[in-house]
Order: sequence, then C-alpha cells, then structure tokens
Amino acid sequence: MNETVKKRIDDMLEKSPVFVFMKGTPDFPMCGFSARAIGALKASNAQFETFNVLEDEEIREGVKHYANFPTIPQIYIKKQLVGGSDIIMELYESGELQEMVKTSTGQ
Amino acid sequence: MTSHSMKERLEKAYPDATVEVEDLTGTENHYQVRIFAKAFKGKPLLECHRAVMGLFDLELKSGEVHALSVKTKAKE
Repeated sequence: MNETVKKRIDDMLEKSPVFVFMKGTPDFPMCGFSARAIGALKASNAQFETFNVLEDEEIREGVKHYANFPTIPQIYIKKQLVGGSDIIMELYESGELQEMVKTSTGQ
Repeated sequence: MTSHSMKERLEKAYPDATVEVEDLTGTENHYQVRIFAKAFKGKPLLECHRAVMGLFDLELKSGEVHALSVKTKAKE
C-alpha cells in the first residue's frame, strides 16, 4: 500500500487508544456489523474515535491492507488490530473486551 | 457464490472440520460461517478469522460476497 495512506492510518490510530474504522458514524451506522461493534464498545464503557470509510475510498481500501484484514469494521486497541465485529462480539460476551478497554486507557 | 461452494472450499482447506454455512439474507452474498477445526487450536482468534476470510479474498474484494460473519472454534 502507498506510504501516504499508511501514514494517514498511522496518524489516525494515534488519536485514541481505541479506534474504529466503520461504515457510517456511531450515531448513524450504515452497516449492521459496524453497528454491533459500536454497541459492544459502548456497553464496555469505551471512549473511542471512529473514521467513516464510506467517505474515503482510499482509506476504505487501504485499511484492508494495513492489517491484512479484508472486512470493515476494524477495531484497533493501542494501534493493534483486535478484529472485526465477530471477534469484538466474542470478546465482549466473554468479558475480555471490557478488560482490554480498561487496560488500554489506564483506568 | 452459493453456500454449497463456500462449504466445499472450507472443507477442502480444513479437511477435519465441521462446517456450517448460513445464507443470512437468501441472496447468496451475506453469509455466516461456523467452523470447528483442529487447525485453530492454540491460535489467536484474529489469526483464525484472517485465515478463514482469506479463503474468500477474491469474492470479498469483488463484492460477490458482501458480508461474511465468521465463528471459529478449535476442535479437540
């Protein structure tokens, strides 16, 4: 992937320990999988930033190569990809997500 | 892509696996895959999902498969 796109993604991930690339916004998710991921994060009391990939084709494609993961949403904690909506739901249901969120923000 | 051909591809990649493929919308492009295989034992979840989704990389890129929900579990 090109360096400019990689740099843009690197910079975004600096913004918040918990970061989500999604379709739509937390208030208006445009896809059921994005909505589920946001729901799990909110229920875990996570503070997070998001980026709407529908508004930026370059990032929408770039983020799939960035962490070698083919679908959106993608949830990052401390700049590492944790997974997509299935993994987030599984971690939420087992209680691990809440712990990961706490640890990431040092609460 | 039909659920039958998805199941076939998964079973080819994971010969010992128990595989279920569900067409979530009846339109052959939104799928849920449940797969139990020995290969997942001791592997991080992210790695398992990457491997399963990777089998459908072309279809995901082309949009032939629009949505793919995955559940992996290690078979003992």
